[in-house]
Amino acid sequence: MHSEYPPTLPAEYADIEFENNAQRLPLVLCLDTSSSMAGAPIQTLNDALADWTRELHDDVSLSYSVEVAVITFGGRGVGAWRGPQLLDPRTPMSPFVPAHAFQAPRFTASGVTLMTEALELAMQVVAARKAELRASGLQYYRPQICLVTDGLPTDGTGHMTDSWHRLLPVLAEEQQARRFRLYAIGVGGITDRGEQVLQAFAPKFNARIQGFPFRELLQMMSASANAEQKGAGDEVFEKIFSQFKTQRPAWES
Amino acid sequence: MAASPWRIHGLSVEGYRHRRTGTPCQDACTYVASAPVTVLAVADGAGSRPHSDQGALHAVELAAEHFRRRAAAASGCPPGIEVHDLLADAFHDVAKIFLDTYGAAAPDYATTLTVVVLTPGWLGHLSVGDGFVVVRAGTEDGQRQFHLLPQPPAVSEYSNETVFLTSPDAPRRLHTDCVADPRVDGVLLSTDGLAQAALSTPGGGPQQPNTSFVEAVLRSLDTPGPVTDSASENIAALLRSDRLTSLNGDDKTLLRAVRAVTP
Repeated sequence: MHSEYPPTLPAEYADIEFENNAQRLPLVLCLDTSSSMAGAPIQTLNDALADWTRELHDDVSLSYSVEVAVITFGGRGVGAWRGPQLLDPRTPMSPFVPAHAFQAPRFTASGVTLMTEALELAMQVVAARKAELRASGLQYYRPQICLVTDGLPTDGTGHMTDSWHRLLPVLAEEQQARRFRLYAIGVGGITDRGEQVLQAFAPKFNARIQGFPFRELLQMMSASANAEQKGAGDEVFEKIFSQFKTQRPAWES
Repeated sequence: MAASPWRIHGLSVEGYRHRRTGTPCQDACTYVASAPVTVLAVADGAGSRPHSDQGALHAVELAAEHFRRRAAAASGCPPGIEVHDLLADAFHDVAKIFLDTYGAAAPDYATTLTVVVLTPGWLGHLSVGDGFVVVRAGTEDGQRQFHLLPQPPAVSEYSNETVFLTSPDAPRRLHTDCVADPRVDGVLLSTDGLAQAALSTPGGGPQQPNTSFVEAVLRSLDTPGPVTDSASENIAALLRSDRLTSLNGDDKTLLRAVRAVTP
């Protein structure tokens, strides 16, 4: 949404030089692209991501603040995307792209569900981005990581595994230290067991949602980013999330 | 009261997010201009608190009254430790009245507070939270020089977390300065909504003023005489511009003073 004020500066201030130093809000979308997402679900995700990208570009206060990174788990493993470009894991390039320049990738669904490894990568890229921002003298808000899945963690051969237990103490400590906010959302036909994994990952912000409401999910992430910028208290984030869970757009009220 | 040697102009404008939601501006600023003491104050009400707009307004009004009274009573006080004590005492006056007024509901009125006291012998600065002050003083190679006054240390790694007047540890976290430099001829106070526009961190080093911004907004007040409506509208348009909004969508406050009479 554009503001109603003219984008140009008054003539007497037109020469002011500004830096690109908006406070940054790293946002990681950690998305399940395994074979169970094939067909309509992955199509819905691709469409929703494209729509959300357009909305972000038009949002004056988010477009220069939010930085988007995408991590997928599917195919033969875990991938980090810098916008539409799948990064070579051997290159040290950051997957974060400023929201105003972010272009949505398009995914195909196949393969295994390396959810544990994907979350580990999400935490790594967030920590690395914070270090880069600090080194550049840029201020930042608490990052957001949004895990979305319709399944259970597997190993590289597609067999269910309990290796995700190794994440629990790490995630608990990281969330206790407020290093990021983690949202863990189960969609489609996720099982009770799948839901339990998400509850263990993100005790506060987990949900099991009917269908594949990716559009609402991404709008909820924008609403949370807005709340973060406002310095809102935890109760505001809980309200936004709880109204997302009941599929009512809290951020519109 | 004798006339202040400073020409002063201040405004607070609601930020983009508050415009969208119809929320009132939660920043406030005021000043009391007299001789020998002039007081400038800005405040930023906490975004998450329901009455922080009223809290910010009340805080700057109390600051104008009590910092002026303390400074006037200590007229002729030399720069140094006495000034730090005077500023801290005035803050305690403000905080006590503020907390007594709102009682248990005080956190609902949470706000930062940044105050500058201008006297013939010194400039006093007190800040709780993330407001900031830039002064213009002297020239170097013909270029005017700008200085960011020290700020209280950040409370966490996140830029949107700060200390408020109502915070239990506010007295411990307040920061005071005393500047004794007769070359100071311009002062700018702001809340954190303008931090990205008015300050810069070249090469990741310590924050310093963004000279092109500070110079422009102080220069526009150097023109003798009262501030015209169109000058006031221009500064408001600057603060509301998309360019500044893209750097920070929060409410914005700019309180400027330039020396109108050379001492």
